[in-house]
Amino acid sequence: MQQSKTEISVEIGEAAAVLDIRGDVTVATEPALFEAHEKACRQGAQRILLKMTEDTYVDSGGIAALLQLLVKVRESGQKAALSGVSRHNRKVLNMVGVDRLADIYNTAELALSCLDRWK
Amino acid sequence: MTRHHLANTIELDLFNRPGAERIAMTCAGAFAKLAGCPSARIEDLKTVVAEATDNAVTHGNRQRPDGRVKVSIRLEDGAIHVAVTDEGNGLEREVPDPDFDRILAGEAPPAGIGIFLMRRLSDRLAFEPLSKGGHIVRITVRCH
Repeated sequence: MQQSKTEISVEIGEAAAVLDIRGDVTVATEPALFEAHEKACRQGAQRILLKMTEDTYVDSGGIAALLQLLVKVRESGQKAALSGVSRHNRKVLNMVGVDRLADIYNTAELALSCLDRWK
Repeated sequence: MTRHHLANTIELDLFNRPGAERIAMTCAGAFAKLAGCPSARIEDLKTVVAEATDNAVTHGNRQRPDGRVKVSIRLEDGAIHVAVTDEGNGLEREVPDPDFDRILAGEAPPAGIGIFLMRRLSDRLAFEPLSKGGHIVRITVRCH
């Protein structure tokens, strides 16, 4: 059985660099997450949006990868937000303290509008 | 792979590869939905079953291609009872909850999150060695 491959594209916008995650967030996603963040950094991004969808599968390995990335974002002096997170994933992410490292929004539009006000 | 042997029970005999956790969680979710569990509890159950099955594949059976993971899902007294069995020796010691203050400060690696979530999202969780060899994780998630 093949595991689904996660693709993360990086789009640099005025409000933030959007890391568009298409696929699962698991331990296997970690290299792609950090690579996407590096790409955003190389283009001078100060605000990072991790864009997911309601059906994004996130397991404990993926949560660990997200925590490590968000710690790195904070240590880089950047601001991070997440969008498109399902109700259950939001509950789980809040349990482990992701909400202490990044704001979580229902939609990418709302996240970008809030990030745009952060200086 | 699946056989119905009781009206309120299903049993899965799964290969020991990544992907087994998806099958187990999907079956558990469908079973809980048929049992009338609300969606929030179904999602809790799916996460706990996926984490337990992934642990069985990765740690219990150490990713051996000839290993098997057995998952039993049963409805009783308004709760879903799941047993995940592997061929390993189980936990060598109690796994403490992660120190999230240190993790969020970047002072500790984010380890132990899977078992933390299993504890927090289930109503009962037990790790038991089997006398004939192997290890079983017993999970209870109440529907209401």
